[in-house]
Amino acid sequence: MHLRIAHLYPRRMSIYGDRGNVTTLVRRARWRDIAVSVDEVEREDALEAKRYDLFFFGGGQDQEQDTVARDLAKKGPGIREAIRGGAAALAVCGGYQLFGRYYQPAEADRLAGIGIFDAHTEAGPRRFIGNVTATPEADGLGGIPLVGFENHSGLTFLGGTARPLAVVRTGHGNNGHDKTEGCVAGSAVGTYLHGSLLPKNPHLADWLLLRALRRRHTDLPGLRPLDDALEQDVNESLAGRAA
Amino acid sequence: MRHALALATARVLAAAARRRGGGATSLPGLAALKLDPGFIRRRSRRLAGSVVVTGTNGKTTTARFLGAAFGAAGRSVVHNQSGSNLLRGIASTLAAARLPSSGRKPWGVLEVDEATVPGACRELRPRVVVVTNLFRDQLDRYGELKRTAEYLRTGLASLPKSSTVVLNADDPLVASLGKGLKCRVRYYGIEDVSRSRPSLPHAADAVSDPKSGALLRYEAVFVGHLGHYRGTSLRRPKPQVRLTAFRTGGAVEVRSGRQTVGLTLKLPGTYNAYNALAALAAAEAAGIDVAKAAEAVSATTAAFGRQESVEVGGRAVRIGLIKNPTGADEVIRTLAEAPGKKRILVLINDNFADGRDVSWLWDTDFETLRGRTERIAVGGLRGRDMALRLKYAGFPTGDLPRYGSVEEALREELRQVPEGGTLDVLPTYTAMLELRRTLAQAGHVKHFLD
Repeated sequence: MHLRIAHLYPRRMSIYGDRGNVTTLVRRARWRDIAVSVDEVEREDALEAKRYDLFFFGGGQDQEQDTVARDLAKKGPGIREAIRGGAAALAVCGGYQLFGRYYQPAEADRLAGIGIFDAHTEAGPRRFIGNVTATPEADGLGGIPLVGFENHSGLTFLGGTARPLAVVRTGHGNNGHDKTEGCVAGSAVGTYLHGSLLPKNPHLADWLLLRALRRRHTDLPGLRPLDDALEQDVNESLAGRAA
Repeated sequence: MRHALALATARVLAAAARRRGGGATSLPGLAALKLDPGFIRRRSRRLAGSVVVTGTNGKTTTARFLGAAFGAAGRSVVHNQSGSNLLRGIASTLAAARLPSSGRKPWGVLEVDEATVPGACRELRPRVVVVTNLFRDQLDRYGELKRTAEYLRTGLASLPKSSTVVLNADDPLVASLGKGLKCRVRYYGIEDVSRSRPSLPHAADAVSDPKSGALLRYEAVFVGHLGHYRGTSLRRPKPQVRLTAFRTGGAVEVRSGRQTVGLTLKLPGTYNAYNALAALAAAEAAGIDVAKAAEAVSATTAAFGRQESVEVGGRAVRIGLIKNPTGADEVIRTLAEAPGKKRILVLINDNFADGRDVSWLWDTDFETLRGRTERIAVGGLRGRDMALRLKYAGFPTGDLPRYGSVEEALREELRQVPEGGTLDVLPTYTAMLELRRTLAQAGHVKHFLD
């Protein structure tokens, strides 16, 4: 078995340790003897989106996000097609915003998103910064808390057809009002949680891995369990600290 | 009158804090500024001039080098070395300093937090401002790197013609601050590319051209995103103070104008070469002869926690502060390049002064240490996160020692070090303070530096 990951715009959109998510996906696949390749895709590169089982898209600063949004006008349709065709995705913070319909900054032109999620984002008056604990809503996550660190001023609002990833217990989540955090569409997950997110939420890492692998191995029954004592310990201690 | 009252109050508070066994705090300065909002401006008139040192990494070491350079030139300095680098800390330092109204005035060498630069420029009217670099650090406090640059831009724009701004030519974001200023601008940088790395590390930021958004092209990378770069709308300025050759044993050659001087740095790592260059360029801007400054920098040892070594019962405890990915990468790279297998203790806290967000651990290349450790242990409030980071960096973590308190971690890990051996401790800022307290209580170091 072989897993192909596309890391979107790692040089421009990779702050707050988002790279750790890719490290985690790679390690957890290799520990199970699944071969993995990661292609880093920048504006300067061509993207053959249908080759990939999983897309990772991290957060960035405003200027970089602007550059990337322009390039996504070209690469977006391919990515959307691939995700509709069963590829998994994890988009964090700025990446999450651009996977929605649009992002409206405070004093600049609206950035078009690629509409994976029925959601839009507007610049907010303040920055939400701090630890987050949220209870997942999506199937297959067993209700085990998601823990991470948010740092955003954009407020994301889910549309009528969108499903949230989780309900916030501590922290602000999508917009600080409706208690939702992130979004799920098919096998694509959007979230504001840095941390890095996946190492301390191995259940979400495996959720993504399984769906990514099933794109081409539809009969795959499940993933071999790993010794996650340390991961669970970190998850529980953070969830406990927040409680 | 108000000023005299503010000064007296600050001194009483400082004396009371000392009696309780504390060191320099920001409380006296806070009180002084409450009683006299112009306290810093008035008090700093008793300085011959001041040099503000700011930037993400290297403030403390650069200021220390600079203090030595002033000393070599026969000038005394007032330095906020153990105080805070916010306005209140500067006020505390100025209140504590003896500044006679007559005689030769000392210089101020003041480390200033990036967000405090506008206030410090307004109040101190510094003769020289030196900017070391801008890396991703404490983003949970400032938001974004570009906002940090905006603070600096605001401060520098307010400086009069007679001031000099000293900028790192190799940092595209810092170098860009030199445009459109009223005052004089000097650049420093590394010309010798023999120590450069092949590509940008994961931790690098600010890699795209501000106008076109195209990624900067690097011919050489030294530390983080520092190097020889070129964008579509920007170009690395030619530095006036430049490192022209790295030689063996910490020896380097520096040129300023037509003058060439040799230095032998006691502190390892390319980042310390940058700190030395920053100090030389700033010293020169303050009127000190470069050769004299170079001699003083060569004789300077580490500041506490910056690769400083403390002897404990026949063993060395070497402390390398880590607080952001670029700084940590350099500490790790220097450690990995030293001969022999290391015994390492990583202490991660997430108190306010450390930054509450520990995600930077995942941007730091702990992988570099793989195969180079005899033993590795973790501790601190986020020791668990650190253990997890090591697991995903490919270290066996099944029986990784993990400690709650710094004191216990130090005691137990020192037990594992044979006589004459070294324990390398990599603490975050508040873990370093705890470490210092622990070492002080055991009588190995003094409580505070001043």
